[in-house]
Amino acid sequence: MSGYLVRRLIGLVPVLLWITVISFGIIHLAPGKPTDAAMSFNPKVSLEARQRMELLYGLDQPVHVQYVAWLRRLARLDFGRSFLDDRPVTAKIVERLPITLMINLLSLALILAVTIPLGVVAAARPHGLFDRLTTVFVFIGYSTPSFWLALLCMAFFGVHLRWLPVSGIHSLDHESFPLLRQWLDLAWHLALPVGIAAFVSLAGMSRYARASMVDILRQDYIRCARAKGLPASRVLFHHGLRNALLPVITILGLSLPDLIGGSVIAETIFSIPGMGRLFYEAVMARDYPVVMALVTIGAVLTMLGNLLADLAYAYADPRIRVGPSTS
Amino acid sequence: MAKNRLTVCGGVVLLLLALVAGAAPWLSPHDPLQVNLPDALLPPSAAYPLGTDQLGRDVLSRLLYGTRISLLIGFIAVGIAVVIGTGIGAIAGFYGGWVDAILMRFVDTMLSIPTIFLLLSIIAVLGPSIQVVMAVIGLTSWMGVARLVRAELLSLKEREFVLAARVLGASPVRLITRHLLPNAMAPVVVSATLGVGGAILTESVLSYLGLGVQPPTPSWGNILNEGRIALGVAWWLTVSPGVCILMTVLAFNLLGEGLRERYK
Repeated sequence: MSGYLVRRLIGLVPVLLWITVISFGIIHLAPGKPTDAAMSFNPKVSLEARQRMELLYGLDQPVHVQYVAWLRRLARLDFGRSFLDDRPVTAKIVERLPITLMINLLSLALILAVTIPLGVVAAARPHGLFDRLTTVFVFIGYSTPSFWLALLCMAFFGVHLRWLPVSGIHSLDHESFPLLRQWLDLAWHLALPVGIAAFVSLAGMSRYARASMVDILRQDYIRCARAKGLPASRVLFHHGLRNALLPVITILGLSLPDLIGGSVIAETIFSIPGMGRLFYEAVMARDYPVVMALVTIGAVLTMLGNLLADLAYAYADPRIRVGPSTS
Repeated sequence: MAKNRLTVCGGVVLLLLALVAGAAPWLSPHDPLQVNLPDALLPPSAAYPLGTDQLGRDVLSRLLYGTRISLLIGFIAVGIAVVIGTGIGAIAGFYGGWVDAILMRFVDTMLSIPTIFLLLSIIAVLGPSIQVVMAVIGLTSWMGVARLVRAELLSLKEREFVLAARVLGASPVRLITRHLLPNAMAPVVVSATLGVGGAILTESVLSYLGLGVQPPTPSWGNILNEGRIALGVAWWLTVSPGVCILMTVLAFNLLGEGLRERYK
């Protein structure tokens, strides 16, 4: 296992380097200096701030020197200061990260809780009525713009029925509530955003869960389990599901960028002060240090998520970690 | 078969959309750009079948013209993605070794950066316009094609007919373009069909966020953006563009899945 871990970690190094090249490169696509844009779009940036920025980023240096300098600071987790309010980027991100992570973890849990049972039941009778119904649902779900669904839900549950709040994560007076009520208040505010964030991946994931399950149920050992007279539910959940979950874990890892990207949309629509909205605001204000930092962090988070998924896979399936890596 | 019927449905919807896009000037009851403030935010009626927006423009006409933008962006973006993906996949698969290793790590990297982050930051730097949106969607969605083409070429290049061509002295370029790629295109066509739907979705997200097609040019995404502002007062501004996006993307997905089944 540790050998596998080392191999995987070494494999991440080139990807990490490419990530930094891309994050750095995007900003330098623009003609002129990155600070020019900040200046022309935001008159609030003072002359000293701009000069400090130019000095900090060594904008009088050749591009490759700037890149190496940026990498050096990156290694110390120093992303520079925001063009907007001159606060350290790291601090801005750290205060926004927990809410985004919470929403993403909750929606991951929701995705698993919905798609796995759905996939199992659909796969139990391929081409049966339930399977065909879920296929239709999957196709429609796959083609629905999630932000549109968010708007419709806001209009219906928020504005029309007034069941759910449409923005923010707390009620105005939440600090006066007892602890339990504060949690309920949070859950009440997060219901729509989490649901919408999960929706993006629901259709695809339930399809993978089904495909993986159908595959497993064709295996000889399933026939054997059935033949020795085990009840159908035990065959499905004990023999089938445990093995079918493996590919699902990998796909889940691969869908992480969509999930993190989805926070941009969900947080923007529901006015949630998380990383996604920070990114959107930074993009709109051409706050390049924040943009660069978030692109890098988003990619690294995805990479780590994939690593975790692969490790989970290797832990569950010895063939992966023993055999020489083939991919 | 039911599957076949759905594929045909997808195809028919797409043909209709192409017709609508082509005939938008004749089908539109009003000028999509004509501001008419006294008629602002009218619900659907005989004069305005799908109502009007904040500036009194006819929503139906704007949707019809928006079809052009969406299809145009969808096809051109996917065209760009197919060209880049095929190129990189072909080079990686044909040469193998360290060339393959470097290119594929680059593909892994592109896949690990959340697409919306890439899209938004590049557009922020270059400034939003239809051309930038098409190019950027293409530049951020070629990785799947590259992987497909690479995998096909890795197995194809060992086949006898390729060996024969090689023995006859065919250059690498000729081998790739004449012998290998034509045999690797089937999965690319499937992925491109699904990709057009994806690109249309992406365009609508970008336009919704205000970083895609810029008003007054109508696009399904930016009509939705206006709908958000009037949410609760003018539901027709939000419902109709979403239905258009949903139908179009669904049609592309059905067609793509149908093609996938066929090539299997």
